[in-house]
Amino acid sequence: MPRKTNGNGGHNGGHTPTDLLISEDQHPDFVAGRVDDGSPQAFTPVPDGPIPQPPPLGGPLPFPRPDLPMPGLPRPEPFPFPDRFPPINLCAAVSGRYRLVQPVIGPVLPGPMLPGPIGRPVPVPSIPLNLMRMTVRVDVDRFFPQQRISVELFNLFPRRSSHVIADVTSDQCLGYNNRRVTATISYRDGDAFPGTTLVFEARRTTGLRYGMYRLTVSGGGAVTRSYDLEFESTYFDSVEFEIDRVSNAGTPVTSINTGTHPNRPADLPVETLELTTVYQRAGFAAYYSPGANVIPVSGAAANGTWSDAEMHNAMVTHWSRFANKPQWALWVLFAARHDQGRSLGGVMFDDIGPNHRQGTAIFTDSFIQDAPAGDANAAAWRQRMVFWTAAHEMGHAFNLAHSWQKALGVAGGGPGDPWIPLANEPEARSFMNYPFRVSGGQASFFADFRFRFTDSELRFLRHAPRRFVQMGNANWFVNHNFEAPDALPQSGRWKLAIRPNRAQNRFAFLEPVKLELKLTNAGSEQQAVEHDLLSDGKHISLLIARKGGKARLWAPFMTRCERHEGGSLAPGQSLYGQHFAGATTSGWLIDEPGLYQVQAAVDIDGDIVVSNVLEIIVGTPAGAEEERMAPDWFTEDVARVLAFSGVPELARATDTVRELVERSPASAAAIHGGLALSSPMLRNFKVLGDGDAPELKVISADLDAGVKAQIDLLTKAPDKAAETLGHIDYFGALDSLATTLKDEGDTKRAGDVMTKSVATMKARNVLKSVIDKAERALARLK
Amino acid sequence: MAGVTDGLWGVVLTGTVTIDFQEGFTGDDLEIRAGHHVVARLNPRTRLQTGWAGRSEIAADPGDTLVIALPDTGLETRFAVPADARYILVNRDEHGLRITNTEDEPGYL
Repeated sequence: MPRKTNGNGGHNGGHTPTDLLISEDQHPDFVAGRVDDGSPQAFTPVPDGPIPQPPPLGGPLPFPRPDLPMPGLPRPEPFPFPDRFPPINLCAAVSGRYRLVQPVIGPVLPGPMLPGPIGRPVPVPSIPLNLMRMTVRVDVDRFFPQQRISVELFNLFPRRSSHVIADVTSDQCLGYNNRRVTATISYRDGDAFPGTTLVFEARRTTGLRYGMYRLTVSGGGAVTRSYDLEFESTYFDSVEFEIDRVSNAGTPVTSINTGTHPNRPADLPVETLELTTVYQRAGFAAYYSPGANVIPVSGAAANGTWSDAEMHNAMVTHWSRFANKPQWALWVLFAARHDQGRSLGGVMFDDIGPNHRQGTAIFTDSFIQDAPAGDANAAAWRQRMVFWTAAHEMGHAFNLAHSWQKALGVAGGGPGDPWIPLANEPEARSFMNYPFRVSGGQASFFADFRFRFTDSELRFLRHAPRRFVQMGNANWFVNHNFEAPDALPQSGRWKLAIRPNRAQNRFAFLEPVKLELKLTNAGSEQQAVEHDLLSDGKHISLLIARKGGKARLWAPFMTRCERHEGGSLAPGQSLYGQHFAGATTSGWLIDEPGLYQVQAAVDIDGDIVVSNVLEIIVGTPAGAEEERMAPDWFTEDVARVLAFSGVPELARATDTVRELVERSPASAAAIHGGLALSSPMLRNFKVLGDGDAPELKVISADLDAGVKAQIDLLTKAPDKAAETLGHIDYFGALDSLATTLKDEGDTKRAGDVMTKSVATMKARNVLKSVIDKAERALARLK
Repeated sequence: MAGVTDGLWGVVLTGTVTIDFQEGFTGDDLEIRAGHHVVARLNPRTRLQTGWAGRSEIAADPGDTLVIALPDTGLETRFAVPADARYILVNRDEHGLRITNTEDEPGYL
């Protein structure tokens, strides 16, 4: 159990609650593990039928927790049922949360220095990015087992997530601590998870305890895959409760002795339960915050009662963990009375603002204090009712509905929508039902109430997609795309580097950021690789984040559907590609001054290769003019004009580019702009006319103007142009210009262009093979 | 109707009844009528956290007939104020408006 702190300095005033708590292995609701007699038909539950239990042994199984060694081999003494065939196979409990063990693809690099962006060595984070996360929740024993396995999967490449829940169809103890659980997927959220069948295995390795956990996914035509897991916790998630109280609300009731009121199930274990215990048994590592507060009654304004808005304000002010973001944390307020009056015993008031379900309230001066006339122990009744109310309101914060609202949906979707079709449970003896609403009223309710949630509620709490359950409800994995170094091994077969073609990783404001990717065969043998792996952005996963901001995924403006053309690289040989990383199809990713991080990944036949984390700095505007132009420049249309080297149909964006070129001719952005304005002049450019039946129109080439503009742009200050355009685009533009001139019969100027190109290549230490190719092209012009 | 002729809708009543609107209300116009008089108008909307949509206190005596109507939907129900219950509970479901009553003040959680 998690460490229990009593943040309110003893809420119930006096007794020591945990003194009476029955330890889990002694509790009748706790399933400590599994015993099989070796028969092949061992435990086969029926999904959504009664949940079968292991063979009755007349008490809790003598098993340890999975993180403790199994005691007393070969089996505990005294032997539990000597009159029956003795159990052969003993398996400790396996329920809990597991996570994927990241496979070691190759040797983990200790953090070498790569040749940096031309000249400057850059430390390479050895293990920069986590590309796949998997969390597995196994629920077959411990408290109130639901016979489910759920799996959360997050893939960064390609970027998608999925959540599945599987119904256990077979649970076998095959030997001493050798457990196999088979389950069939019955619920999917997202489509990234393949297969239909899960097999969870837990086995001993060298010691007595479990040492190996594995999940195998198969069926549905998917390739069978196995994932090694590591045990994380006996709980499915952790949650913190902060119990605050208003000064006139009395002492919060956060624990209950289940035996103090005579109206209870005859076999109910007598123990003292904390609110945290209730949620621990529901599957959460629940604990109290030490930061509990006493809130002055003045927070409720003049009338002394509380509105929802006042409670929300109090939560923002007094909750030590308050943040407008999803978190496994809940604020619980004990107040005297709500504005609605004595008829409101408690409420999950927090449906205000962007992050709901963060706060609940219990009203101590309300009808929940009204014990029935003549009750046998009115004080105990009140204590139990307040405790029940607190657990109930907290259940709403976990997104649980009332028992009679299970089938209720909200038009257009909303928090009341059932996550899977559910039936109402109007007679449920649950924290989520009203005691006075069942047949026979509260007396009937408490006569059968066992201080627990129903199975359907437990399945939701434990296995629903976590965004449905977590307080503050938000998108999964936001802000978690960039991993600290040392989280994932790099491929030993390949090395991927991302860099700009410049001495310093600094870009000017408005300058389109172009980055180069270099993939090197780091192995010792020739390796196959797609020829366009780096040149076509469809193969590349590129993440860009402004320091401290959210990571965003880049997508290329254009991909090509080409005939598959294989290729290969010799050891040490490299493949290159360059992309306009500053903008994507939804707009600009790099559009503000500041520090950015960029990281790329490619998938080479299942080998995920990730790059260094490149940090680049974007400078501040050079003057008021740049600042003024920025809103027009950083539009999706301007990005398209630049990405496609001119889109005359986007007239307004083209005008913006032209304006920038005219007003800031010396800027790096003007080189990109000039290229985009002049490139369409080099050929007859087809555009689609307006109207219902648009026709193709041709804008005639203006070769003289186009050639002059490009020669000026590309050859007068070649280093500057090469630096901002990047080597691949720069030399590509020169080659294209030379080809145009040659096609027009102007071989002299074509030769001049290629001569300049070769000279610039040599000056910038371009690969010899590239220079040789350019020189051959030049020779053909002479 | 009990009482004298000088009241809210022509009579002065001696008792009151509390009508709680609970599940199934979405903010539609709702009228409570006694005879031909509309004695209350409200727009109850159920808050899922509590199952409570609103409350109206109506002057009425046991045996009086009240009508609860949702004019825009055509739903309407008529009932006599019971002698032994101070609280009328109204729920709306796929079958229409459902009336129950209780002597004790209903609570919400």
